[in-house]
Amino acid sequence: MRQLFHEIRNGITLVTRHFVQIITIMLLMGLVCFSIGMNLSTVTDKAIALKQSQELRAHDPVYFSAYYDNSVPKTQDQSAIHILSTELAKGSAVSYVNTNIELSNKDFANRHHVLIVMGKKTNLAVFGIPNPQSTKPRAYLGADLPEKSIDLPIAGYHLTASQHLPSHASFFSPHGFGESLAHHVVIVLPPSALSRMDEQEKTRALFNTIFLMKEPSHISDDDLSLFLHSCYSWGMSLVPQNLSVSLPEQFRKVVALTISYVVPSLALLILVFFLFFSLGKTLVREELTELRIRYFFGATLGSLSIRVITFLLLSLVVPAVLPSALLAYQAQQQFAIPGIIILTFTLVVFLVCTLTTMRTIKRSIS
Amino acid sequence: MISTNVFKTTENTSSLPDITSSLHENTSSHPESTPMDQPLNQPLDQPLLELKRITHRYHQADSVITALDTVNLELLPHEIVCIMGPSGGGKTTLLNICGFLLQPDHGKVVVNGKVPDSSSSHRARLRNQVFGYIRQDYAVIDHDKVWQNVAIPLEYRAKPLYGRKAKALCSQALAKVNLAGKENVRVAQLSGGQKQRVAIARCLVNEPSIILADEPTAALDHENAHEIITLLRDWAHDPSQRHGLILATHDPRILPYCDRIFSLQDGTLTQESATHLQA
Repeated sequence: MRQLFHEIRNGITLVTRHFVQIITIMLLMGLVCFSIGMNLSTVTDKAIALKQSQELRAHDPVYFSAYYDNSVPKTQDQSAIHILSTELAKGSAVSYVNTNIELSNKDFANRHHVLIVMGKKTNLAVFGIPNPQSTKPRAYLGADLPEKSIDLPIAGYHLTASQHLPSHASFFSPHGFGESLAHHVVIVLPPSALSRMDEQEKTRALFNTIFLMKEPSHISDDDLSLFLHSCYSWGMSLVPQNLSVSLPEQFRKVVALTISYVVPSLALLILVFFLFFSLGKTLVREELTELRIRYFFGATLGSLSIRVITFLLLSLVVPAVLPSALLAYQAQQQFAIPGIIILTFTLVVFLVCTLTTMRTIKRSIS
Repeated sequence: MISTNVFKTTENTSSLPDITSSLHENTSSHPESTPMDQPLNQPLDQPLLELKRITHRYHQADSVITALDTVNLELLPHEIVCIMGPSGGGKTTLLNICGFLLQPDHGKVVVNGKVPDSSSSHRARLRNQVFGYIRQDYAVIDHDKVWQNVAIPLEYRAKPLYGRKAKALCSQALAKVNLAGKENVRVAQLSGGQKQRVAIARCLVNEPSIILADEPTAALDHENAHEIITLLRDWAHDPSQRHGLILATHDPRILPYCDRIFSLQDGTLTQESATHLQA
């Protein structure tokens, strides 16, 4: 027993000789965990958004791209607002305002990104919020927001966001594609609130309108024409786009984006794992002389293996796993997958290094 | 003192044709077994170490290399035995078998007239209590202090010694090799000759009866080589102790210090006369 403690203590002492390598391992693994965590999160958001877009596509949606013309006097014809409110109430349109600043109240929502969604079919734009088809005014906090509750005075309502959304909650926009709602404050407003919004919010709501043309009560051609004409008085020319047409192109973009994220991540992962394995072998090689000497002077392979296991656990496994554990503790699911990958690989390297060390000691003598 | 019985007398095994199996058959429960740390009770002419019909082969991809072929060797008390031969001739293998670092394919190693138990823990005890090792590359830990290097054998005693007690013994051993006061110096700061003396102090600290030295002077200049071999000779010839030294070397400077000289070539060990080799 005394010998066991002695070997463990000496294994710990060996670790103190390798601070540079240990710090290098921590930095490498922290970097790879952070990078893959972020990339995986982005790719996951895009994948969820893609699935959402397929649902939206089934409703034959029309959205708009805008051209702003500052030479036109902004008379702000309210017909567009009226038409949009009506369509939202009928369930044949969805609109949203995605902003990070409220001009009249810069501290609005504690300066977090805000997403306001309106309409009976909000589930086609946002994913993961409770009762998506209800138009009852309410607000939610993104999964990663630290606040317990935030008061939100908006469009005549005094809402309080206290419920956190699930971490997979995301938002689909035909303009920007997928986006995580982990750091957003999400506000659901009834169609009637549109008229009480400020000018900026109204402009964005008009531009971000999606008409659902497969709905039985979808917008008539006359109303659509009036809507476009009215929007012109808000300083923008809206050009209708069919999502069903543009979606395959967006799909290709997502695939390209995914590849552009995944390939460098994989390359980084392979590079870091190669470096990690080399560092592991270097650590072992630097200690082999001492291990051999100890074997000459009476250590058994059993006692040496205790020393080697202690040493490698503290110099390889702990510094490799610690950064991902800390990141996962801070941001949970986002870094859980890279953490698991790193843990698995680290354990493999640990086993390989332990076995090869003991085999090398035996071979170097025989 | 080792509590378990490690040896059995040679008489009980010498008649057995298959020595390897006899090693496994003869366990520590033999009634005539005696503890191993009692060399002073042995008769004066009792060899410290005997190799009997040792054969060892290395198996490579397509071939088998016979490193040692039915080798017999005796090391008497106060004797310095030199093994000479070309590189790769099996000298290190012979020393490793002598020192229970390697088990031979055939044959037996007898220490103080007894065949040790073949279990790994008993072999480890033997390595710790009976043998000391010196190697050409000094085999010292550069980033540790001198006394920490010397104390290694003390950690693997039946009753291990650590800390201050170990350091005190290390100081005594270092004084014997003229390194008194260097206990807290990092080994990396020492010269080659000093490193080799640290290695010798490490051997001496546990008071072994046999030192196995593999090319101990190969990396040293004439002056340091002379100093090292004189130290080893004085240790082996100490009349108050039963010590013996086996040297494997290429170095002709060592030959005048040796009592018997053997040549090891193609696995065969042949005794040479010193004058023949020096010529």
